[in-house]
Amino acid sequence: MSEAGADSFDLVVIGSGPGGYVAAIRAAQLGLTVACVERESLGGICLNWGCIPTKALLRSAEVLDLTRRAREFGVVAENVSYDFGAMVERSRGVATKISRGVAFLFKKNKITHIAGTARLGGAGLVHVDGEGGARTLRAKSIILATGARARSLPGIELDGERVIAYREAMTLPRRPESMIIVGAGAIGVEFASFYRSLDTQVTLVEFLPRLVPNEDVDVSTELARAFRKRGITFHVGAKLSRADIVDGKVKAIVEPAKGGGALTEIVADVLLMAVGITGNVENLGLEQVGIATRRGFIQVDEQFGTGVKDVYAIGDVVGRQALAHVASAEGVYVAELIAGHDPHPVPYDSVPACTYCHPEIASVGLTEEKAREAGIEIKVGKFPFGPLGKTIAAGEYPGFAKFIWDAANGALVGAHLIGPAVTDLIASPTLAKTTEVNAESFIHTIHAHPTFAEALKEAAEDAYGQAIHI
Amino acid sequence: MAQIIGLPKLSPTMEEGVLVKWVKKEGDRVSPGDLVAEVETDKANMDFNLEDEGVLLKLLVKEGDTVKLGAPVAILGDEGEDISALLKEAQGGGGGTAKGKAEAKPEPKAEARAGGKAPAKAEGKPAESKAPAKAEGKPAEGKVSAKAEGKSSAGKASAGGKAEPAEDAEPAEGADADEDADADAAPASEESAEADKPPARRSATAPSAPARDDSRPKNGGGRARVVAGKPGRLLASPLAKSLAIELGVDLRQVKGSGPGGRIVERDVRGAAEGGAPEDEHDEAEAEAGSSGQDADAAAPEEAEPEARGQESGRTALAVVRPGPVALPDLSDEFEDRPLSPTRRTIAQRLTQAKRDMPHFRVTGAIDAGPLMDFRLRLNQLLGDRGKVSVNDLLLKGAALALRRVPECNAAFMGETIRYYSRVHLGVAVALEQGLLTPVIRNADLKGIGVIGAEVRDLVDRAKRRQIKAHEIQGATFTVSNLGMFGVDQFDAILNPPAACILAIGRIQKLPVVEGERIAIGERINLTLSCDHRAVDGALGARYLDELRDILERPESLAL
Repeated sequence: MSEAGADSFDLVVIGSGPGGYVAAIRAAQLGLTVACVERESLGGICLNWGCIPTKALLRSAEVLDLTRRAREFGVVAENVSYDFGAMVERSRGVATKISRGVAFLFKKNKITHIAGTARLGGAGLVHVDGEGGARTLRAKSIILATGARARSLPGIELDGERVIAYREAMTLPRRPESMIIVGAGAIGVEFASFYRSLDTQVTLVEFLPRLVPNEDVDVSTELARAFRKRGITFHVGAKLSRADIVDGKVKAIVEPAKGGGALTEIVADVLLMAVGITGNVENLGLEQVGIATRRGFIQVDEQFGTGVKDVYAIGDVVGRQALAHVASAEGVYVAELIAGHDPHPVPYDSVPACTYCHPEIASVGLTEEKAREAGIEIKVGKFPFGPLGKTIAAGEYPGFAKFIWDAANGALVGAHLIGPAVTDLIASPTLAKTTEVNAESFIHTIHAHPTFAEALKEAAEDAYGQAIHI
Repeated sequence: MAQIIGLPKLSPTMEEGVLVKWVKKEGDRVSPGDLVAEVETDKANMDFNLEDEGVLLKLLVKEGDTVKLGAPVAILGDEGEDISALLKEAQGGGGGTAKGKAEAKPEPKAEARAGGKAPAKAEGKPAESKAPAKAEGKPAEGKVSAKAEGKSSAGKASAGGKAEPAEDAEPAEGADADEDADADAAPASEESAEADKPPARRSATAPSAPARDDSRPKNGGGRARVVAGKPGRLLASPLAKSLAIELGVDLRQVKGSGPGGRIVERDVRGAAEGGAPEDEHDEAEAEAGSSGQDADAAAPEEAEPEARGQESGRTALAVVRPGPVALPDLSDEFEDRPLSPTRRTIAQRLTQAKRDMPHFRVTGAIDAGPLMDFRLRLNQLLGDRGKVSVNDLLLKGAALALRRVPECNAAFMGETIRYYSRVHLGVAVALEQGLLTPVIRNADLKGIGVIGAEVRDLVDRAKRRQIKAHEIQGATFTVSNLGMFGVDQFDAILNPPAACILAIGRIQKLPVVEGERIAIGERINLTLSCDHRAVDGALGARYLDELRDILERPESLAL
């Protein structure tokens, strides 16, 4: 299909994160010749510095927590301690393994992996600066999937040592005794959860009035209760006004978000900035070819077109919903579009979001608050995990499942889970929402006993006053 | 070893067929390629040939029965072989119309196989993303190919050829918890069943079907109903079903836009806004529940949208605790006749054309006098060697005019406008079983006599249901002549994807003004319907003008 020459491709994907590599594979499956340019390790942030290595760390924390509770389960484990370096090493090993998996998939799908930094050259050209020198690729279509990176607050510079971002936070040379985490979104609370398991003094600072502010307010309340119990300190509705390095420590000044209140001084070994991301839009040649950015993200149309013919952008660099699985879904969509298919649009209203703190959080759809704001008449049901046989047997107590149905027709408006295994449990509410399984059908579905999933059915039933075990 | 022969796909859009005639009898020995039966599909009557050899041990379907795609029609094996097990499998549902139960047994197997495949694929791979990505891709492929043919029978539902009100997955049955859960499970099992069925029953072939059909892994991605399940099952989300009750929408009239052609919420809302289903809703109310076929009537207490609004949440409760099932319709005040495949295709295509293609029409009259004289002279020349009809002349004229205005020989294709270099003239023919448009290929290059002979041959074979699928496909322009029925003039609905259709009225004797006096003239009204997305008014007018010029100076027809 391609024009002559080894450097001509039907599709060149810039970036190999969960958006880019998935788009590349899908396009290759559909018969296109594909090259994927990556300046770092294959797999992008998700595989190397995000989703996967943090899950490895959190698993270490979980094993540690459980081992410390061994006696509860009749298991004798004495002198339980941990090796922070080994935890980090394991996490890096997991990342490397997964990254190799992407390399294997590329090979299998005959995708050309080009190591280097790409730059648009206009008219279907991509310049790549790599170890082997510069080369120019010719592409019929281009997908920009360059991802994003942590951003900081104005006036506070990330020095990578004392004031750090997620990347440094998962490879610290030694465990910090104390840590300030600015931002109580998914990244913030996950690191809070991990380091607290290692007995670090953790202080969360969140500008909005509650933890995990994107989640349902009931979930925030439950998490706050659990975190408080675990000894995590947090300041919500508070802002970081300055952070200085004093005697090798970070001295942070926190004040009420609205201003005008009392200042609080917090001193810690490190400060982790987890306030959000900004797209990797620099040095891509966007301005030269005429691709617009806004607030650090590439502007795209409904079909991910950048306004320049045959150049698309997906994933975090677009910043619609900065989630790996959204990037993958967008990647598949664009790959199919380029291959001449007519893909179903990405169902943005049914994207599951998972946070792997302890207890875990998972949700899909609108929160109760958002649903009411949208003027939807709703029926809300809730069921705690606590009374379930599986929960009691497993010794996992906190959390609940909450279902929000459209009162008029039983459509699933949102599901919000906090508790054991919920990041996996969210799959069925997501399926229900995407495929329009309504309340009656969900309730009619038999859920196995004993499982954590029983809480979902009971919560769904509770909305109609039909829950059995409450 | 005996095997069940399933009904093969004999046309690209076929979902079911009527077994018109068994050519072979029970006990007949058959060889590969033998014609065993004739089947009426949505397009035409097709030959049903076998690929294997053996003895037809059992014919499972009666002549005249409607059979779902893939449903068992016969058992093939060696003489004297014991087929009781196969019979049981195939005849779980009785005759050819109720194959739902017969399908039930093979289905779990197919599913198990599909289920076994996916994990195997995922194994040995470091990253898990591969298998799901692949699985997702297939429906998309299927969907695109279905679309490329300009066909999507999504949203169709049928009673399976016979009146089986209870079998029909009515929206009202959404009020039955069992049915509902059943429907939820349907997409997965039916899809896997379809995916695996062709290899399991591939002994039947479809020789006249286009070859590209065979290369498709799943040929029904864009359809609402996958055929393996119960007759009349609708592929619709539970929400779509309950919403359909609430809004009084007949799901059988709704085209599904979800994956696999599934009817989802937006489709039902769209249909409700469309208006037409609302009328049916009113009708149903007026008839006060006399029709068990009707969604609203089957659950009369659900029919009032206002009532539902006041007592929100009732849907769920009603569904969890099912009410009494409506009795089948026993009315003698009307008769519901099941749609023939042809009628169903007509309904779907014309609805699509009328709804999706913005039509406008231009009308003009031509002086038919010269044409009538010309015809007389031709027929005198021919003597008893044949006759030329006015229609033949009009067809030739329509084709030649397209050469003068080639922009009208076009189709709107979404991102492009396709201009055809050949003139393939569709000729609308009214038949007992419905409307058919046989195609005269390269009509502009053919003589009047040849066109006339071809039309008569095609019409004759269409009447005897012996027309082949390729003979009714590919029209670039269509002519519909109702002159012989005494119609003065009319508007025709476009025959998609072609952008123009010409409607011809009768030859009328009229008082006409010639110079300063009134004389008796002969006139024919011509109306060109155009897809405004491809053809503008001035262009349509130019076509009519050129056609008038040709027909009023009929010697042009000889050029």
